[in-house]
Amino acid sequence: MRIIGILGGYACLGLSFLIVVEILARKLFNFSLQGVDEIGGYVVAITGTFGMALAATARAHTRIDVLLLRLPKRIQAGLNLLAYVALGLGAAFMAYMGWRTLSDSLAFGSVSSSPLQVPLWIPQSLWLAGLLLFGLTALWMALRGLAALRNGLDAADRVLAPPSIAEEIEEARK
Amino acid sequence: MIDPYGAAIGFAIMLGLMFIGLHVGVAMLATGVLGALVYFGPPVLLSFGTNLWSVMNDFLLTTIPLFVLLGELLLRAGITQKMYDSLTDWLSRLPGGLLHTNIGACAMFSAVSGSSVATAATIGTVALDEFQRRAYHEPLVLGTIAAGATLGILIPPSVNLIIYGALTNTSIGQLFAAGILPGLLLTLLFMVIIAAAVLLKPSLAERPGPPAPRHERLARLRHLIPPLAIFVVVMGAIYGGWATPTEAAAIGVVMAFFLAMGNGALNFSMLHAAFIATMKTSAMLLFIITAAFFLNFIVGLLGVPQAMSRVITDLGLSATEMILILVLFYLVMGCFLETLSMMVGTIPVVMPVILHLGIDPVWFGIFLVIMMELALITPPVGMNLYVVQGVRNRGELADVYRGILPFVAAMLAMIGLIILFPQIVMLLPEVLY
Repeated sequence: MRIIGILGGYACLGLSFLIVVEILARKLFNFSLQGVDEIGGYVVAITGTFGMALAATARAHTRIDVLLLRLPKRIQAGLNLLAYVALGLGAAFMAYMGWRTLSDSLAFGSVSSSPLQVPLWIPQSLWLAGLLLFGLTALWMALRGLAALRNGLDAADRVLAPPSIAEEIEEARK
Repeated sequence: MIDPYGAAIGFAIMLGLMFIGLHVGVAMLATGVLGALVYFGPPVLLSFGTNLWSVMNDFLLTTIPLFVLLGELLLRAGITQKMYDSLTDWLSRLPGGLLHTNIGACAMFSAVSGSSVATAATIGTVALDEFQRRAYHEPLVLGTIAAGATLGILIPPSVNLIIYGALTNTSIGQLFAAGILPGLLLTLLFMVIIAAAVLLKPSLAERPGPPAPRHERLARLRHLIPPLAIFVVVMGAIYGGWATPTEAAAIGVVMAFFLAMGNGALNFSMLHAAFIATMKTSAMLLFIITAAFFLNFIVGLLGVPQAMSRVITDLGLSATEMILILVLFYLVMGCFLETLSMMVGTIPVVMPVILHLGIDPVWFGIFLVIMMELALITPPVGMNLYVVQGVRNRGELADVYRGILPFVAAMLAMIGLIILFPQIVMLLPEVLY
């Protein structure tokens, strides 16, 4: 999963340099590289869905824990499991819509309406792969949580409970 | 078409799903799906269709990972301590001494970073270390950091304003311009409150020692240049009209990259840590934004905007009365909801009301962000309070609660000011656009 974050980061850093080069070319030499904004859109869509999988393993997707933390431990564990199963279903729902988009693009041979003329199935299949990975990761987390339950509620908490403040600070200082 | 009760029940269901701990994005997706199934049937769900791709593939949203990356790089660029020291040179002679440095450092740092947790944690670490050796009233020290760290979501570039702009179709450039004056004014209000408190009760702060020699202070001033330069170039690029917000963010990233390199802070482990943090945060945001777009789409089909407009017409509320109600509404919501979820989750029902009453969406965006700042520092879930207490790692949370009170008052005063004088918000966008 780390590798997703690292590759995605390089993609964003690379995109930034590309944009700056484009601005300089446009301003100084009156010459425009075509399609940088289009590439930017693909980078966000693809790193975004793969990043969602990364964020799921890191428990970084936002949850409201104000009530949760006040419930009995057992119920918390149940709701944590429910949350990750539902996250998997939510991702599956998005992936289903993504699949319909991709199959339309394939059926009509859609290309982007820009000078780049990118066949849309290329970025869209990567994007869809990210959505699928997101769904699988969420369900994998739920399974890990379920398995950890055998070692008690605290063990399951370490897998699925929303990160504590101490963990968030630790994260921010990394 | 949905009636107002149906809309209220839908909103309550969404909050309920959030409170039982479902992920915020999932709660919004599920509410949208439920609404579509109850009122229309399954085919409507598919009519969202290719919107999912166009939402995520939007160049505007490219802005988000880039601004997040800018903040993460800056956080690790090795400038925090030096920046803090240089600000101390100039601000510590005001009554309240180092307390002003906290506010100034937070304002400056969070302006470019945009994450209040990261700001509170970073400045908190530097500042609390500094205060260890000094005789300041501790609650006030904690309060300045928790409150100062909220400034980033108001002072542009702000990721929260980008998300608001994307969801409500409001110009990011105008929103950024609108955030500047209220951001500066709030910073000033904080400093006035500190000075007033210390003048009334001198024991709250140490007397400032003799300042460092002038040439030293001037030499250290260069440490303030990098964050200021990034701010000026990024904002200047947008208002000079030669870059879109996304392009400006890219320029900021490149500047932060070279800044870190110049400071010798750049290496693979630093870069990779920044990358992973960026991907996690921006994907988390993208998931919520996508879910919000989906929910907004269904809410529009259901006719919630029309239903809300009818309610407002029937109640006969004026714009000002409505805003006062919303102040209370967001104060209460802020006690339970995480701030971004509060904004994104309420936009589908609140925005139609705002537009119906003829309230400017740019003004409302700033209002909403100040309400979010308040939520960050009001108990029981004010995130910044916990972060500052977590960094401090000793004593009672109650100290932070006591220290934050003056700043809560300042923010409420700020809300009053922008209601009475909307020009504070609207002046810059009107001049620049």
